[in-house]
Amino acid sequence: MNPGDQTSAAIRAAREEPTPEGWFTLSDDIMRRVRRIVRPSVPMIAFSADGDPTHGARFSRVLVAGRVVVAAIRRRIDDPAYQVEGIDLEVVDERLTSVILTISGRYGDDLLASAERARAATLACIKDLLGRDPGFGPSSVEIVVDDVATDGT
Amino acid sequence: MDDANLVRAAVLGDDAAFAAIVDRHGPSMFRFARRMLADDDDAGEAVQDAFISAWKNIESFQGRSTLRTWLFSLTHRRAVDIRRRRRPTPTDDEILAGRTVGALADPSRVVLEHDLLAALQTTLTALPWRQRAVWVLREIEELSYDEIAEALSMSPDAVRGQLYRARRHVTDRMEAWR
Repeated sequence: MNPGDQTSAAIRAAREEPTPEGWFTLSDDIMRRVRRIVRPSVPMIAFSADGDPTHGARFSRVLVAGRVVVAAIRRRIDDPAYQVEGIDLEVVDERLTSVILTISGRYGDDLLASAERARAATLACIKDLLGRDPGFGPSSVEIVVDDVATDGT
Repeated sequence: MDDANLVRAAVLGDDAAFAAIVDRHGPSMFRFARRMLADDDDAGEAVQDAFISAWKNIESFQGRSTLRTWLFSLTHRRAVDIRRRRRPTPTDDEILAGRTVGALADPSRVVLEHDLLAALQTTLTALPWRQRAVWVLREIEELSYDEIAEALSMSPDAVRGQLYRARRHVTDRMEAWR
């Protein structure tokens, strides 16, 4: 056998390796998650001060683009104690049902306190922007701490 | 439908088009992540997160690189994150390494394909991260130097250097396994 034959055989085997069975379940999971995620341009309804989805004598509806909501949340939750890695919205029938914030913090910081500050700021932002939706409360804001970095990383 | 058309449809919110992208590119991304992380669960997480990121940011995909290169880039970034945060517990690499030691101890053993792949994985795991990524993208996924440079945020010259060292190491280790 010539030098390099073993490597060539391994490369060939790796290229021809069949797709692992786990992939098919994984691809289903990916698409399930994709279908739950709202793209930034999706509109969502704004409520009146008394929690009504219509406004004024003509019962008009006010819709706010998802990208506006995401941008406003991002500005409002800015905090030196953590970094915002992602803001995902879930909308059902034009109604914002949940906000998922992904943040990363530093090792040694009080992550729980950071998460609570982010939650409170998000709730305030949603109320300012989309009014008082009776179905949207603290449990509608999910905080995911994605990573905890040490100074050396 | 080609990648450019699938991307255009996905930008408009067509999730069936995105599903076609997942079916087309997912298996090679998963294969890449498995070679990098040597753990199916971690690899699955990396690929899943990469696709979620792609779906959320597909409007920002400018087409400067190919879709495939962009997806490898997202997968690599997530794999780096997962590697950083995972605990230093025994991994499949070490299990595979144990199997390879057995193979080395018995030169007359018939070389089965899965043993060959196990030996390759052990060899790759011993490589520094970037060398491993460059080697896998070039030798297994057959990306060009420029595509690898784009996917890993390196210069093409750096890719050449890393690949040269990786190839030498892989060949030496695999020859020892004969």
